[in-house]
Amino acid sequence: MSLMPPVGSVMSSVNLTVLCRDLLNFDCADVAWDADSGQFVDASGHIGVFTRGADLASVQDVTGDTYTAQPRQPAWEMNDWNGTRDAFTCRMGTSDRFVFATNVLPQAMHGLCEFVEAGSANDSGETLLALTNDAATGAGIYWASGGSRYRMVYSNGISDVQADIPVTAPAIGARVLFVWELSASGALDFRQQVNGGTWRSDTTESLSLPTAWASGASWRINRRGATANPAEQAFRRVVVRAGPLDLDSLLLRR
Amino acid sequence: MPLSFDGVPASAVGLSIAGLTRWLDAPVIRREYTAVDGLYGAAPSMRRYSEPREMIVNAWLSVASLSARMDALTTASNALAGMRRVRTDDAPTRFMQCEVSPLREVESVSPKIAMTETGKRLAVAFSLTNYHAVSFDEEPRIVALDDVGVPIAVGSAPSAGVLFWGTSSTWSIGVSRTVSYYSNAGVLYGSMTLTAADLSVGTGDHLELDFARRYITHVDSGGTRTNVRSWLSAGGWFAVDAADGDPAAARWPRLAISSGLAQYTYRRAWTL
Repeated sequence: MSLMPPVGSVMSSVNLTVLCRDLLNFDCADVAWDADSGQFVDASGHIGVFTRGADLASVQDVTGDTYTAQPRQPAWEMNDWNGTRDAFTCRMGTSDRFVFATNVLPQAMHGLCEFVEAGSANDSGETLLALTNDAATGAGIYWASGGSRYRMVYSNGISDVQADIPVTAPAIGARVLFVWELSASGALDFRQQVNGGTWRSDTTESLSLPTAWASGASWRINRRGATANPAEQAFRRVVVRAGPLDLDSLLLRR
Repeated sequence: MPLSFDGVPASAVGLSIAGLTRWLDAPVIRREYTAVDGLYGAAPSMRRYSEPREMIVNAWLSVASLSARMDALTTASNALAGMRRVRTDDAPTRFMQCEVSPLREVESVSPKIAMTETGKRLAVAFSLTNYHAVSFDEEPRIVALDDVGVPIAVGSAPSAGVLFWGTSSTWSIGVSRTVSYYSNAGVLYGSMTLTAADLSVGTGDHLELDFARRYITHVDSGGTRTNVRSWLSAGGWFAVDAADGDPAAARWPRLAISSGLAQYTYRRAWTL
């Protein structure tokens, strides 16, 4: 795999980049993109497979003009981040998906998902991020829209718990940050921040962790199963770490 | 000056930065030149080379006790050593890809009866080696191209990006298309003509031209990828260079495609 910045200046060869120890660390501005293989390698070493079966129109470039991304072409999009700078995001429509294979075991873990709201908020069931199998059944976790708000759902294969953000969904174009924790006892702590504002959160009761996630479970961005519950967002990054939530450390940009 | 390594502040591993040297080993930069028809002399063309640069960081390493010095040194060293993204707090929107050396002790006093716990911290040093002699923007950029030429705002070092090149009508076998690189003054400094040889580029297919690794890949709408480097029938690889524009006036060199739908993705780079 290539360990060069995917788009950069002419460079000499360098020694190996140190992979981070996160359970998943996908920042679309920090991936190795191999044109020959079409594989993304994220900062934690996971190999992502991107697919889209159709064009995606009206993707914004750095000048504010728009272009149409071809099938199989990641729709890199510049989005206003905080009023003073644009951020490089991966715009995903309902036929886009990223899948990162993993064999991670259930454990205490926490993470974040950062994106620019592009349309899922007011729909129901559109899944932004998931650790699920192709059928989207059995033990797993996912983050999805619930009609007018976002929610996090954890299933141990027998029962579910669900944390709902107690405010209405973000507006289109808002910068949204999810932070979450799955504790060792199986309780959820799900937090949402919009445009750097007040944190809103919900927690759940404990639900014992399974010994393994459903067979075939993978990290999925913009999809819950192989085909189910697609979303529409402009993703910036997804980070998943082992252990209890450490917010200050989690928010650092690698 | 606070430093971070892959986003982790130096203080998180017990380091207090005492001082930095300047970048050592002044870069050796040379350009390759290619004659341009109709011009006297030569025009900058392909690429620029730079020698690695190095900086020495002096720091204090906090330790819990005199006897914990060796463990603290090993722990901090293991946490930092390797190829890292290094940031300084005066340029938070850029990063440098540096190899961080293991920490070495530069000042040590053997424990003595008279020594107090206040003297237990270690003075350490390590080096940052930057093989590219550049820092990079945190944010890559993407810009849609057209047949007139779109300015590419680059940093002070050349940027080689990835060109995604699709089409709204089939690019048939035997047909040539060209991506052209113009200076701000409108002089053609580089071009690549691709002639479809064994595949067509239909609606929904696209090409990827990786200017850093020099790949040309055909991607069909089903995701099948084919090496089509042989399509390069005229011209050669180039890198967009601010020297071909007028950076002080924010006037930049331009990229143009002869036909189709294309986007250029790149990351600005800045010489150290």
